[in-house]
Order: sequence, then structure tokens, then C-alpha cells
Amino acid sequence: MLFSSTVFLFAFLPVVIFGYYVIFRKSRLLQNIFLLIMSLIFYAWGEPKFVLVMMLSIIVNWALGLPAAKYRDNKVRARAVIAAAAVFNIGLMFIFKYLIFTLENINSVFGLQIPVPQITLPIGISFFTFQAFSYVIDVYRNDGEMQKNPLNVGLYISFFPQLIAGPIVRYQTVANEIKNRKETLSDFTTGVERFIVGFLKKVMLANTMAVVADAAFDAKDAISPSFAWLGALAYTFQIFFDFAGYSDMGIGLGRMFGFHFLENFDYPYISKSITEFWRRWHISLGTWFRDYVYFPLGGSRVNSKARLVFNLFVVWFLTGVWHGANWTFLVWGLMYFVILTVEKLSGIPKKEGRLLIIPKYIYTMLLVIFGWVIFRAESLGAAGEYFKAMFGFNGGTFISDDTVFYLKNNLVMFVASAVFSLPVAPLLRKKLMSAGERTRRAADAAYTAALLLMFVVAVSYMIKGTYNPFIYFNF
Amino acid sequence: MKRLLKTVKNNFLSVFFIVYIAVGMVSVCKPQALNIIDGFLQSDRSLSYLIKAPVLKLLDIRYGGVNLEPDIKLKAFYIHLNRLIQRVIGNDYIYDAGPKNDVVRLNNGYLTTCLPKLTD
Repeated sequence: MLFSSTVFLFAFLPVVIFGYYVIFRKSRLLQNIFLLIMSLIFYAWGEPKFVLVMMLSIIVNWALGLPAAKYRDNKVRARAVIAAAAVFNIGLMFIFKYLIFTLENINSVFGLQIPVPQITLPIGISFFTFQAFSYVIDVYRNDGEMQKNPLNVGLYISFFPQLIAGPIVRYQTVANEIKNRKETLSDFTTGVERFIVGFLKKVMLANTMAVVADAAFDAKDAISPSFAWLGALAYTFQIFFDFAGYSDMGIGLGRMFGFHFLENFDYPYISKSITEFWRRWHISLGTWFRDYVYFPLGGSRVNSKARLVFNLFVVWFLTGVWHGANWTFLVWGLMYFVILTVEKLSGIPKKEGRLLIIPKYIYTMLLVIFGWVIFRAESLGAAGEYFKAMFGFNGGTFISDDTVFYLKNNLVMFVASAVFSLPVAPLLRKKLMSAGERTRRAADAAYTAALLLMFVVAVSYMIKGTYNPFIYFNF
Repeated sequence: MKRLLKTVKNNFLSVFFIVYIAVGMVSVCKPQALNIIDGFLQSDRSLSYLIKAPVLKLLDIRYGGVNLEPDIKLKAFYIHLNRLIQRVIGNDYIYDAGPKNDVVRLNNGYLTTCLPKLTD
């Protein structure tokens, strides 16, 4: 089920809010059971049989959490438990996500004919598997309380706001809130505000940019350089507003039910280095790899540069592979490994100076856009063709009719995308906070009115439109 | 009463949101609910029908391709609103006006439908 769908907004969500706050308001246990059941229905809406995969993950990880807590002081046994959790969770992801890709490549390289099974990818498996694994590790590290009741682990893993496209909520973040959370009206209002903002990003900006990006990337004939750049820019905006919009909706929905998830995006397109970009983009994935892979490997506090490079390689190889079973994702991850290694060893991000701001910004954005071209392309060959088009190796004129048509029809949305990918709203809010009481009140009222009006407009986009993909559903 | 009004004022966003999705829910589910009640009145008026019917309806929506969309009056309002917005922001071309067609504006200002959908 999509957040930006009629079924979710006008059927599922009202039922959950009513059940949670009216029918089961007096019992935390019943509220949690209700949320768990509704989360399973939410997941089952797309493909019911995969609920069994998720339930298996819940039961196994809950069972592994028991010895993980018991053997905290016994390193050998605790490591065995963590190893079992790693084998199970990575194994689950491997079977559903990477088996076909691996067998196809083995067959192709060695000229074998190993039968390739037809396996459908369960939606959001990478997200809920990482969360489940985080439960066992956090319990072992004593970063969160071990749950005797499997229903609580079930709610943590399957809670619908973050279930299928993040943010990856680590167990330690919500461990206390599963049993002891406090819902307030002001939290609910903040949650609604956040949900609406995410809804606007997704329905109005990401979906509109998707039309332009798809026209450029899926074009059957050679495209002009200007249209290739326009398509790459549109995809750069699409993936940001798509994913950040989903995260906003997830964080907002969590707030409505008393859960406080951590932020997942912090205006990544204002970064002045790739290191900074990755501190601002998909923060929950970055911190997951940092805390569960990079730091245990030694992080940057290692004796040799070779070891540092190896640690970075492991993290970025896994980051690339996590996004999907395709060479494009692997190359995309390794591209960032190379850039980040160069940045770390050269100290480029630390170089200050007013004159450097614009060149650093251009350098970062160009690399990010090139990265998204590789990420979006169907294959490495297609990415190569797209780069050829961007740099004019396809011949033809620089500006084509396509460029004029798509730019003219979407100019307002391009401008809006550029503006909202910058921290304009927090800056305005900061300015208004320092203004007088009357100005602040007027601004608050105007903001609420604008948000409500835009929400109704966004619903019109949702009802009119049929084009509503979520990029991160595939991961 | 004063306290209630103050709470509503301070949390107007939440109040509007709840009312809005509740109204949306009524418009989405009312026709189906009426069908169920109608079926109940015309059947043997058994309680088992009232329990079975929503479940069957739910399965129908999930597997039978029943369209869970707001009724046509509400949908028309949203489509008009969307067209207005598209005109305000200067779009001559409305993507995805329907699953099989697009809407384009001609030089004389009239809107027309392209069927089948325009592709590259």
C-alpha cells in the first residue's frame, strides 16, 4: 500500500487512528497489538504471501535476542549468536535479492546452465532485515532492552510508517517507546504537518520530475545534450523528493502514534563535499553501516592507510549492493568509495575559504548527478550511452524540441524543486522567530492555511494521476 | 468550551486533517457500506451476512479490481481543481490524465484528449 494512495489516506489511516485513539486508547498492550495487526495488513496489501517472510524474520530475530541478552558477558557465545543473526538476515536477503543475479552471472561467466529460480523480491526486505538485525545487535550491546514478548519485536520490525521504504529505525531509537511512549496533541499536530510536507514532496514534486526523467532515460532514440542534462537534473530532484518525502511521511506518521524516529535527510544538495553529502543523505543507512560495519572494522582509527582504505571499501561495496542486484548499483557504490577515499586522504572537505565555496559546490553536485545517472540507468551500457548524450557525443543540436517542451511545461516545478531542496523553510522560520509576537502569529496562521490548501491540491494530483512510483520500494 | 476552542485553534492542522480524511473515508466507503446494508435488508437479514459482506468486499477490493476511489462528484471536483492549478502554472500538457490518455491544450485554448497515450 502506498502512503500517497486513496486506499491509505481515506480508508487505512482513518481506521488506524480511530482504532488506536478511540477503541484501544486505554490499553498500551492492545494498542500495540492493533498497530501490529494493521501493519501486517498494510504489508500484505501488496503481496500477502510475503508477510510470512517478515513473520519468519520477526520470530527468528526475537529468538536470537534472548541468548544475545543472556550471553552479553560471554564473548564466545555472544559472538556465535551475532554470527547466527548475520547468517540468517544476510541469507534471507541473499535468497530473495541476490540469488538470481548471482546465478545469472555465474552462468554467463563460466558458460554454465544452472537453473535460475523465479523469485519475486518482497517489498522493503532490505529495510526490515536491517532493522531486525539491529535488534539483535543492540540487545547484545545493551543499547536497548531485550523484549520477552515477540509481539513487541514484531511491532518494531513491521510498524507500517517505516516498514517498506525507511527510515531504517534502529532498535535503540525506539526501544523505550514500544512500551512507554506518550502521545500528545502537539506531537500529533507536528506529525500531521510532517506527513503533509512529505505528501507534497512526493505527489507534486517527485511525480512531476519523474515524468521528465523517464522521458529522457527511457528515450529510444538518441537525445540532445540539453535534454540529457535536463533528465539527469529531473532525476536528481525526483529521487530526493521521492525518498525524502517518504521519510517525512514515515516520521510524521510515527509522531502521530507517539514514536520519535531520527531524521533521514538534511538538505543534501547544499553539500560542499561528497563526505558532507553522505552525512546529509539517507542518514539512517549511513549511520547503520557506520555503527554496525565501519566502527567494528576499526573505522578511521587504524594503524595504516591501507586498512582505512579497506574499511571504506567494505562499507561502500555493501552500500552499493544494498541498493540492488545490478552492476550499476555496485559501480555507483564503488564510485563513492573512490571519491570518499580521495577526500579523506587529501583533506579536501576541510579546506576553507570564501573563494572555494562555489567550486566545491559545483564539484559535489556534478559528482552527485553523475552518480544518479549510473544509479538510474538500466545497465552500465545504458549509463555509458547516457553520458555520451550528456557530453554531446551523439551528434545533433545542443537544444532539442524535447528540452523546450519539457522545460516549458515543468518550469514551475523545476523552480519549486530547486527552492525546496534548499533550507529555505528553516531559514524563514528562524527569521520569523526573532520577529514580534504578532508577526509570528500571522506567519503561523498563513503557514497552516498554505499547508492545508496545498494538501488539498496535492490530493487532486493523487486522484488525477496514475503515475505514482516509489523508487525506494525496490530496495 | 473555551478550552476546547483554544485546543482546536492551537491544533487546527490536526483537526482539519482528521475531518478531511474522515470525510474522504465516508465518500470512499459510503457506496460500499450502502451496498452492504442494502444486501442485508434484501437478504435473510442475518447477522452473518453483515459480518461476511465487509470481508467479501475487502477481498473484492484487493483481488477483484474494485476501484476504491472517491465517488464521481468528488473526483470531478479534484480534477477541476487540478486543471486549474495546471493552468495557473502554465502547463499545456497534463500528464496521466487517465490510465490510457493524456490531455493537451490546443492553440485556441481548448483542451483535448489524446488517445492512445502519447509516447516517445
